[in-house]
Amino acid sequence: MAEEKNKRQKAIDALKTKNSGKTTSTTRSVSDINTPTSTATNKVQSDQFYAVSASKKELDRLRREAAAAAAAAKSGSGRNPLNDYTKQLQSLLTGGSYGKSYDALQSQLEGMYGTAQTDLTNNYNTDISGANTLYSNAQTALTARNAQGLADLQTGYNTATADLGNLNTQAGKTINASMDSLQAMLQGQANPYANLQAQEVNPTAQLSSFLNAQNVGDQQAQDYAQVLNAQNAGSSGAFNNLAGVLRSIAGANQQGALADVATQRDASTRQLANSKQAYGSQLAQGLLADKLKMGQTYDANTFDLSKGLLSDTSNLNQAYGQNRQTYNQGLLSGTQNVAQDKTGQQNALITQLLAAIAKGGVPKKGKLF
Amino acid sequence: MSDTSNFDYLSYGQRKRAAGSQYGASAAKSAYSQFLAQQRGNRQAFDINKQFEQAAPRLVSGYTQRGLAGPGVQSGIYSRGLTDFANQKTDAINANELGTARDIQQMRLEDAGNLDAYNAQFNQLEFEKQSNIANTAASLTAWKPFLGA
Repeated sequence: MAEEKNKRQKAIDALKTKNSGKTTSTTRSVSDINTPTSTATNKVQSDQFYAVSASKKELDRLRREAAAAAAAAKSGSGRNPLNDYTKQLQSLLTGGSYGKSYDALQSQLEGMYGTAQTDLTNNYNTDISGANTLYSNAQTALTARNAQGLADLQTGYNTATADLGNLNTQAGKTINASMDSLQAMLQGQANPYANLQAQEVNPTAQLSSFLNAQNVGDQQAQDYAQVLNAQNAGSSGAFNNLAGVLRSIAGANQQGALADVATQRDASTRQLANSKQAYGSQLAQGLLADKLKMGQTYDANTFDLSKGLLSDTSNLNQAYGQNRQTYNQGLLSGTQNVAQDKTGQQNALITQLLAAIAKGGVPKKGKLF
Repeated sequence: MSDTSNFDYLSYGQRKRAAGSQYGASAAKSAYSQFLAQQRGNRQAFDINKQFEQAAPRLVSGYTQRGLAGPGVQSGIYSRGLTDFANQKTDAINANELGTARDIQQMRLEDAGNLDAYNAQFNQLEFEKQSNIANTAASLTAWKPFLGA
């Protein structure tokens, strides 16, 4: 596009240069004048007029031609070239043919600038459309990526939550297995004092056969053995009481240990629930934070895209406006130049006509020009 | 919440084995002591029987020589003397059996005490271990790496 623009600008500049050259040539071309000079004043004016662009050689040729024309007029021989010259100038002015090239140039200028303006507008519209499409596609892609990101985030959260649930279930089983094992071990543990009891010592009356053989009754011996038995029973009872107390203590300790297991199971189960709740909450907060961050990023990117579109559109509008202004200025400048050149040409013809009349040239009858 | 990483499973095993060894040694020692006590009691019972068996004829002979016993003679002194003799043996036998029984009883009491102490120590260790496992599970330690902690 820039290349095209440069191309057009070069074409416009070339046209301006060409037009400028033509203007100089048209307004100051000595060949178009061909006016005879017979007086010093005319010569000075002529010198001043031709001094800018005509070469010295061409100036001399024109002077010779003018002098020849003046001499022919003075002698009265043949046709009067001054009169012809005067009438030709008059025809040029009244017929307006001198302006045709300027009108054509103006038309060409307007056509060229019109085409350039059309191209500029088309390019502008294409650029605007392209920018809109580009940013629209970017916005669509951004929205899709954001949606996918949110979906991935949610999927990850769901997976993590499911994993946490599975781990929680497994942990619950571990707690119960651990406590069940401890409980079974304690319940299966025999009381150390369970079988502890006094070994009964029951003495029998000794030497009964001997007593009987000696014709001595053994009743007293039997009675004595009974007394000892009673004493022994008292002693055994005390020991058994002691064993009973120790057994009770051990049993109470065992029940206490089992109660401790229940307490531990309850505490661990509650702790597990708290842990799961805490981690679940942490996960949810993480998800929320990630979603928020993603939303902020999405908003920021969307804003950047909008800003970029606005900036690019603004730049395109500005460039379009500047180009249009440049084109309009170029057209205006070209039109002014053409008009000035045309007016200059007209003025030059009038000047030449008046100069020819002043030298004695006779114009056509009627309106002078 | 206990820090599960501080639980020393190696130390747990060592302490458990040490307690088991200590209790096993004391139980074996006690069993042997009980055997020795029983053996000693049996030997003493044999000695008592032997002493009284040997003394019985001399006792009768003494009463006979003093005319307190013999064919057609049976004095109250003789009867009481023989009864006392029989009661002395009953006493000796009873004392021997009772002593042996009480010695063994005491050892069994100590055995039970040792077992009770061992059980308490063992239970404590097992409770620490299982509680640690439960607390580890309850803290969801395995979840922490997923949180980047």
